[in-house]
Order: sequence, then C-alpha cells, then structure tokens
Amino acid sequence: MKKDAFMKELEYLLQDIPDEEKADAIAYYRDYLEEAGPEEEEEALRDFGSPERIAAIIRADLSGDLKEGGSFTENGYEDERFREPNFQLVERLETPECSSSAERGYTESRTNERGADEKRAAEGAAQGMAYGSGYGPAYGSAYGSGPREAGARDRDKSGRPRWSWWQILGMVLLACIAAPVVLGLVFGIGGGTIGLIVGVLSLFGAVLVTLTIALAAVTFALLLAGILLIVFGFAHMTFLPQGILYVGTGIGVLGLGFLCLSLCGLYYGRFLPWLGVSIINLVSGIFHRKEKRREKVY
Amino acid sequence: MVFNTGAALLDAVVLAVVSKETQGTYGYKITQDVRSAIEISESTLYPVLRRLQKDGCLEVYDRAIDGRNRRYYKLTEQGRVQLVLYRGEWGRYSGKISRILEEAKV
Repeated sequence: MKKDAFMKELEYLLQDIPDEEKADAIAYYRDYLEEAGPEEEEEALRDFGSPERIAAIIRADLSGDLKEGGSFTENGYEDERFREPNFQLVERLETPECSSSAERGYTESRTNERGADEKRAAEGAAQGMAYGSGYGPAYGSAYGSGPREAGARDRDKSGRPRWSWWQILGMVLLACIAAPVVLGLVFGIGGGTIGLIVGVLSLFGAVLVTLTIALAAVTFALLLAGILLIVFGFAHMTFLPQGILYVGTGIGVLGLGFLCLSLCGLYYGRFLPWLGVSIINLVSGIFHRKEKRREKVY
Repeated sequence: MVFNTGAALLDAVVLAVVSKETQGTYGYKITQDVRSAIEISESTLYPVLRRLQKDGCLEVYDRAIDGRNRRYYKLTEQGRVQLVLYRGEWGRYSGKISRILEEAKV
C-alpha cells in the first residue's frame, strides 16, 4: 500500500504539468512499481526517494534542464541535483528567505567545484521548482529524512507569516460576530430542506393512502350498486318498462365495477408490492452505501 | 566506478539494451539490464527514455499484459543509426584508452 500512497502523492505533485506529460510519467512509474512486484517494490521506492524528488526530476526534464545534468561517478551514473541532500538544498531554495543561508551552509562544506555545480543546480531548480513551492510542508514528515525535516521546519518559521495578537483577537471577534449568522443560515437551510423532504413524502403517503382506500370503496360501491339495480329492475319489470332501464343501467354499472375490480387487481397485486420492494431496496441501498463508505475509511 | 563520463554513454547503453529485443522491452526490464552494466538509480531512466523518445531514437507502444497496459520501447531506424554511431565512437575511444593503459609501465 506504500506504493499507492507514493503514486497518489506523485500525482498530486504533478497536477499542474500538461496532462499528457503527467499521464505518461504516472503510467511509467506505476508500471515500474508493478513490474517490480511486491518483493522489489520496497527497494525501488527507497531508490526513488520521495515523490517530491521524482516530481522534481520530471519537472526538470520538462523545462529542458536534464540534458547535461547526469554523469558517471564513483557510484555509477547520477545526477548531482537529485542526490538526496542536494535535492534538499534545491527545495530550500524555493523560498527566497532561506536561499542565502542554505547556499552558504552547503558551499562551505564542499569543494569549490561542487559549489559551482550546485549553483547551476540551483538555477535549474529555480526554473523547475518554481511551481513546486508550497507542496513541501504537507509531505515533509511522511517522507523526509533528517536534514530534510530541518529544512521543512526552517520554511515553516520563515515562510508562514506570523500574526500579531491584535490580528488574532480581531479574527476571534469576527468569528464571534459571524457565528450566529452562519449558524442561523446553516440550521435554517438544513431545517428547510428536511421540512421540504418530509412534506413531499407525507403528501405522497397521503395520496397513496387515499388512493388505496378510495379505489376499494369505489369498486365495492359500483359492484353493489350494479347488483342492486339489476335486482330492482327485475322486480319492477312486470309492470313497468322502466324495469328494463334499471336492469340496463345496472349491467352498465356492474361492468364499471368489474373494470374497477381489475384495476384493483393491478393496483393491489402489482403496484403496491412493487412500491414496497422499491422502498426497501432504496433504504437498504443507502444503508449499504454507508457501510461501504465505512469500509473504505478503515 | 572511478571514471566520470557524460550522459551520452548512458544513451548508448540504453539504446543497446533496447536493441536486443526486436519486439521491444519495458521500463523496469531496461532499468535492470542497464544496472547489470552500470550503477544507476531506479529513477534515472524515465527522463532518459523520454528524451530518446522525443529525439526519435525510440518509439513506444502499449501492449496488454495480465489485463493492463504495459508500455514497450522499441528502437527506431534513427535510433539504430545513432547506436551504430555510438558503438563506433566508443570502440575508437575505449580502444585508445585501453592501449595507453596497457602500454603504461607499472
């Protein structure tokens, strides 16, 4: 899983370079780690150093600074600018405040030749790393080695503006004044939304219940009326021609009743079960998604 | 290694390694093959491969392996010309150096 974290951070660090370049680089390094397999992966990651280092190499390449960078040394092929301690120097130079001290500290401890090398590196870095500033502190603790962490602390001290007490006091006061408004807004909008949802749901429920009862009642009434009319019609048939009218109307009403009965069959037999299943699915869907989310977190 | 040499030699070694596989080969394998000759960090080759690709010495294509795409690098005609040039240059250069060192009286 270290691999995933590494790739995620590399992707984050490269988000401002052209998409094609980014996709290419990400694909290469992901591919590389996958080819390396679980056994070699650890070593490859150690060799890569930090995501910042890999990102710096990719950036330097994009700005055309890598052409004359590398050379063979006692330790094989390497590029001075991306050796870990040197890379730290490059990173520190991002912020102008610490550039002078960092450069002094490093050039003192090395030969003149190396110093010149580093100045060249610093110039390259100034172009290449300019976009990189600001990402550093967030990742400092996770991947940094000793000197690197020191660098990150330096930057924290000088890079972040310090607030005086009255500014802080002002902010606290502002927060206190703003709090009721903000809270009111939040609760108001939240309450309104919940109210709306509940309202719609209860309207839906009311319609459903009414429909359920009314359909049954109408069907029952129609059937009953049809039968009564037919019976009444037959009873009056002997002395009144109206009896035939009653019977005819009764048959019509009875037909309507049967139509409603079949509607009832559809409604109670199909629609209501479907509705129930749908609601259960919906609820359990929400529940399951929550569970999945919880699994992801842990 | 005691001797410092320019990046051209790394280009030459990478081209030579890639040229051995006619079907092309992939980043991890190239790195391991180059490491058998010279010590390089695992992160060294990406810029090198990319530059060689931009210069037209290598071409890339994706091949599906185990359900995902693996990027293969293959030598182009221009890459072959460049490799021949490198090999000739290296032969002359290393020959001279070897002769001088062998003639040295120690």
